[in-house]
Amino acid sequence: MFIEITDRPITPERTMDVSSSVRRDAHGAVVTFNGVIRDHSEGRKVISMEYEAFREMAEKKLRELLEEIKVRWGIEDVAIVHRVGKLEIGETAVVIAVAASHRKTAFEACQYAIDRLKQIVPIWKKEVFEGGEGWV
Amino acid sequence: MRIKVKLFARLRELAATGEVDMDVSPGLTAGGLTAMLKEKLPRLGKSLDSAAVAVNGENAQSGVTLKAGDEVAFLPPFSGG
Repeated sequence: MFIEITDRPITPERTMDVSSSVRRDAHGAVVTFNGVIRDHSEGRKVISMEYEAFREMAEKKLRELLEEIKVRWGIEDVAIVHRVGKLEIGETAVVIAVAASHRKTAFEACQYAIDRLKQIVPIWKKEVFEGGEGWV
Repeated sequence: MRIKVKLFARLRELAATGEVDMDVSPGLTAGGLTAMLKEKLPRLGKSLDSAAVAVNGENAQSGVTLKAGDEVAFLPPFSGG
């Protein structure tokens, strides 16, 4: 169970490591979600994204999120890593890995984690698109 | 009393700073500070209205009374993930 906010790229290798870190022999399912930068937004061509966090509070909120998952699904094998800084198209902004005995729980908890992250964690992104930029 | 104001994302850019030290009267509420900031930095305008407030890293209501040394953060709507 861990959370991290990092300015280093979340590479495919890092994603594998995060995913492996939550797996135990009692688990039948590991669900890993990668949020990635797409090349378009509301009809505009996106060039890059700049993520900013209120780091201390964001870390606290991510820990709260893990606690919520523990209370609701009884699972502790969850890891969340969120990137900050400038990200290019295709780069991973967030990786969430959830492991559980059965897939239903793992899928549900992973979906909850990303939805809840967007609600309660103080992180922002600025979209840099062709012809301008703006906070999303 | 001295407090520290932290600004993020759009607010930080509009203010051209992420941190402001302010001298305020004892008894000031978070809501009162919002009004003060609007006068001090009018260009924050509407973006300040849609911001949530955190005191010392915890979500706070606008009625909360500030203490000396508090760190008050103004948080635009989140867009992580």
